[in-house]
Amino acid sequence: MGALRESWNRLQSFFQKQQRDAELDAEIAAHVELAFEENMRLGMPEAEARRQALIRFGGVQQAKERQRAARGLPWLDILLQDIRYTLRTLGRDRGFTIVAVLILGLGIGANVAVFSVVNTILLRPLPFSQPQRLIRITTKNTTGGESSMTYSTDATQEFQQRNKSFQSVTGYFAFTSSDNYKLTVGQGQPVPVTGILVMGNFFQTLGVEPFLGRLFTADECLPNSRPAVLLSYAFWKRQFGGNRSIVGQAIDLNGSPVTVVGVLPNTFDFGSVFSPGAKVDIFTPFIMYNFQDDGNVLALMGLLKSGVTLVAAQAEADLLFPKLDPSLRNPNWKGDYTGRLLGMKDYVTGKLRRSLIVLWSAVGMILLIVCVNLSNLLLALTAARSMEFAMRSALGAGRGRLIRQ
Amino acid sequence: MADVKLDLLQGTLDLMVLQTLASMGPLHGYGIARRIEQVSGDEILLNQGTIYASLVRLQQRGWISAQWGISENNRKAKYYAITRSGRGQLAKDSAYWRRLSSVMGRVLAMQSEGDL
Repeated sequence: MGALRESWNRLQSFFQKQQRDAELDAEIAAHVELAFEENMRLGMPEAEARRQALIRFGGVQQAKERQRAARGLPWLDILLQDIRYTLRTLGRDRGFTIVAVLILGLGIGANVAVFSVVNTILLRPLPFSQPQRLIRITTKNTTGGESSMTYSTDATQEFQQRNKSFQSVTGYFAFTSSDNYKLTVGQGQPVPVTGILVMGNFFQTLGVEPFLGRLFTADECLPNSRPAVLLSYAFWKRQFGGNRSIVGQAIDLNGSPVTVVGVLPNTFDFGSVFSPGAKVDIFTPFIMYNFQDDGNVLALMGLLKSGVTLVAAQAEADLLFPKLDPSLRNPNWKGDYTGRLLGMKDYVTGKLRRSLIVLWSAVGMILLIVCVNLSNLLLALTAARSMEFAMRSALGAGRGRLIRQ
Repeated sequence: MADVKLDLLQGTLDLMVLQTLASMGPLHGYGIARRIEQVSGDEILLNQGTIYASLVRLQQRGWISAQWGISENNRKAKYYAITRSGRGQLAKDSAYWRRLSSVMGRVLAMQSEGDL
């Protein structure tokens, strides 16, 4: 209660400096007059009476300063003074200010830029429900590019059935080019959109829940089923203005109506995980039957059963993959499959990891150099002001105050 | 070192001011300072100016109130009076001082016996 009232009073005094100072002046004047008159009554000569009154009062300025410190917010006063002083100094010393601001800005800017990249790729966990159990499956020999890292539909189905390590195995059609669909709205010009074919259990395996609507059903992944499409969040916002009623309606893709069954969440960005830089607008079901004669078209990934280690799964994959049959209808096809299991995070970070860390350290060094440079400048400035500091500390300036200025 | 001394002095001065106002009724700053000097029998040489820091502090804590008035010789002066909560604080502080000084007395007495 008392402390609260005191703080409030101090705050009030802070904003009423002139009035309070005038009152104090009047009070001190009255005090000295009263003392003077009493001394006169005691029979002192006039000059001596006034002198004694002032001596007994002590330093008028000190008394005022003490009273101000006791009534107001001295630290705030000092802070304001220091800020004003800093701004004056910076304004006077343009060259120093510009150089300091420039190199600080450069150092901090470079760090922010690199950190935002590092944060997205290295530090932030993947936007899936169980990223540590998600595994990317590629072939061991990756020299043949994308087509040597993929599997046929029959091999995929066989692996799905025979493996014991994965809770579920899924994949997407690996040979998609951008702008492979044309969306026609009303009578307008067709808009090119990028779509990708994903297996029916793709989003369930990754643990992605739809933002609106639902994911694909098993029926929609069978031949000649009703065509369905899922929209990415960004595409939904951009193309349909975030219209919620689009779910359940048919849109015109490549000249035929396709039903929008749902919208994916904002956190799911296919490109950032599987092919950096790519922007995928829509997802359609990969119908296994239609690709049975097309060879290796699926890029695979899976969700490990809980408790199964990557090493155990890899051991099983080493046994299983060479035995997979690429095509039941084309017995002369040779599979020669291998399987290399890689944690999804490591797959995404991959080759970027080392160069990003180097880059990060480099900009860290830059910031360090910036700091060294600035402190050199400050040191030079301090040396130039050493006379002033000596004088002021001799006059009784506090050490903290000197350092701040 | 200097800070410790000043703190003690401040606390002491606040208590003296409260006690003076409690026993003498409303007084102006000069009156309070003179009264403390007289009672102390010139044992403390008070810089009369320091009393104003003490007065403003006590006022902000709500222990004394202030009002402009006219002195006995027709001079405008600010009169201070102790408030109800000021009296409560005075009772608390003086009890504390009595305890402290009696403890100090005993401790110092023990030391001089040991010397002998």
